[in-house]
Amino acid sequence: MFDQLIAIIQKNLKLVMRSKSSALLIILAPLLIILLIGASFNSSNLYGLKIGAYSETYTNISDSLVRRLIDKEFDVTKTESSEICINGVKEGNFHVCAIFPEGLDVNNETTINFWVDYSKINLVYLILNSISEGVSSESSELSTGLVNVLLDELNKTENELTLEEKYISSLSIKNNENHEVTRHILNDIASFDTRVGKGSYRWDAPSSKDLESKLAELGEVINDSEAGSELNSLKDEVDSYKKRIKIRLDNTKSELELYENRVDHKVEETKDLLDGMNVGLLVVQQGLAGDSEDILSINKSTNLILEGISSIQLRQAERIANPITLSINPVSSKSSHLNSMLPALIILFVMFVGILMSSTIVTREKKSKAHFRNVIAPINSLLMVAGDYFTSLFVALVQIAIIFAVTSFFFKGIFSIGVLITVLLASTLFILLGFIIGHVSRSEEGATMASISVASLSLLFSDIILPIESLPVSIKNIVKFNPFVLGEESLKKLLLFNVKLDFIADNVYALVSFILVFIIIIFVLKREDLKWLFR
Amino acid sequence: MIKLINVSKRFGENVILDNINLHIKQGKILGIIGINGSGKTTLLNLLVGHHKPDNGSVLVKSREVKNIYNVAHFFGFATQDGCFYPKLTVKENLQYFAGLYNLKKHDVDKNFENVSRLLNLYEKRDVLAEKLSAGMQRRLDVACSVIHDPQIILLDEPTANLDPILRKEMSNLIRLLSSQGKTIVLTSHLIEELEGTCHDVAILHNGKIQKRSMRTIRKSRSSLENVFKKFVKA
Repeated sequence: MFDQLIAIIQKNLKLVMRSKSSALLIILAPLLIILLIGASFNSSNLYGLKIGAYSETYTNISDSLVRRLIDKEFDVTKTESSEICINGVKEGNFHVCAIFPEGLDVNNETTINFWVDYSKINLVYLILNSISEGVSSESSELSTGLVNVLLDELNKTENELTLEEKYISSLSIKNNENHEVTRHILNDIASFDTRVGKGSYRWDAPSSKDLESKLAELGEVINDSEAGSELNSLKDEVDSYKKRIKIRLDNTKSELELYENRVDHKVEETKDLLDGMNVGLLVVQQGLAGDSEDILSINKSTNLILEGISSIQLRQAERIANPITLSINPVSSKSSHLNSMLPALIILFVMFVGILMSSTIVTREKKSKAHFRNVIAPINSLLMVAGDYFTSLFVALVQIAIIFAVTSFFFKGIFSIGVLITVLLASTLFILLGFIIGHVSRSEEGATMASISVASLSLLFSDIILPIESLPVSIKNIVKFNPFVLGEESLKKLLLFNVKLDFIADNVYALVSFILVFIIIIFVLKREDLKWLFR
Repeated sequence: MIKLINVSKRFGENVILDNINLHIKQGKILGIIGINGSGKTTLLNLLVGHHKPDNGSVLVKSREVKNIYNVAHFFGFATQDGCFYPKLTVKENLQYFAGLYNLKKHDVDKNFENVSRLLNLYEKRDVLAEKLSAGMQRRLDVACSVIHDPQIILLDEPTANLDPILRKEMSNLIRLLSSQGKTIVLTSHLIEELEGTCHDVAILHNGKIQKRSMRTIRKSRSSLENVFKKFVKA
């Protein structure tokens, strides 16, 4: 049986290789495609995308935006009118038309209108994403500038308030001190006794009678002596002095009485003054008390403002302008288009080669004149199917090997057991699908059409054209079991995220289930052989 | 060697074979003659088990033909069309078809050597089948039928679309194979061709068959043509 299988595979391969076009396709197609794709997509940029731009009046901002787009390798053309710009998209001259408002300025209208052709929806999102980056960074710069102005003002206010707060505190303290001083003064004034009282002073000079009696006593003593005359003269002098002292004392008394009157008068004046001051100071004290309340209130407010300002932790304008910054990073370190395309590319290859190759082999064999000789040979047609399967698998693997070999020039270490298993399972699945198509088709053309239709359908309901997330839930739930999606998803995880095989176990089981179902269908189609097998 | 016992076959409403009985002896050349659409090819297909009879049974070496697999080794079948791969060489075609019969490598090589030399294909062994002349292609077709050394060779219209020289060549080839002890069943609608080649002939018409020995026909100084006309009229 093994020899028969080998004979069938050899025959199939020879037939495939003898056809020049087939051989060329098998060897050169993958080489050519991968080289072209490698050269074209081994970057993460968008090249040569044409953008039409129009504005009635360009401002610094709009010019800056245009420059940003040019810096991002877009081919930007300024048009003469918005109509030309929009029609340019319709006519395919531009991929996107950007219409900037007249005099684009932060103080005026800032809406930039993009006109896109939604029939190129995949390109549209790609371009808009790229343009948005430029616009948002420009917008971010503008916001940052505006926030900077606000922040500067805020900082100034904070500094001024901090400065003022000292004065206010000092003022409050001084006010309190004044209030206290005033209170003391008032107390002093209140406790100040202006009463002087009437003169209670006495003139306690020895009376002249005492002095005369003393002198008389002295004269009597002296009469007995020779010094009486001199004492008499002294007595005269004393009398003279006595008279003068009396006069002076009288004068002094009258002066004192005069002074006392003046003092009384002054005391009265002082009392009036103090009363006046008391009233004034009471007013001042009340005023100071009111001021203290006001100052306290101002102080509280100032403190609140300062607390509020100091509680603002974000002081960087960039962070206030863009408190949440988006950074879209590739989850894999490999970021070129080729990298992200490679899983889909491989499954695409496997799908088209598998389906087309196997369906073509089956229908070509069915329509071959030599087929009858195979039919009447003592060989189970399931063995023929196995031979066709291994032939198709061999061709598919050769092509994948070429792709891997060429791709390894661009990036290393992409091959693993998981990748091999996924490729083998996907190849087997699509080859068996091709067999089913080949068996039910009546002609090679029909099989080719059916194969292309099935492959296109698989492609359509995958992430290649539109994200499957955009489909209705019910359809999405079916589409996620699309063999192409299963294969691509598995390979993507293996190639881009370097996950282990058990991480994609569900997909592997789904692929194996599909394979089993297809084998059963082929058995049913070959039911005669099934009978033979169990006989 | 081969026995058809009360065999009937119909396709839809058309009765192709109606309760026929036929015995084909070993080592003989049996020619089946009939007009186009008389069921000659269907009869051959029944012999190899490609078609199943609706009624009756086909026995090959006393073994009932139930399907292709239990009798395939006995038969070599050359159809009206060239049953070979045009994109393979003579040798590749022969080796491939020999391989289907599970022959060992040295048997395949030996059979290839014998058959290609017998049918004068050896010199052309590395030529693509599509590059061969019509006569050589017919030889290749026969060679593909006999590469596994079958005991019974079925030839469906072997001389159709051949010029007289090639027809003669094919007749010689059939006799050559017969001389090697093969039982040959061939169909044709050319009476004179069968007269010169076959030991026995079977006339197939309207689902009925009548087998006659060529020796008997010759002895009765009649001709196959007369026998055929008489059977058709009857």
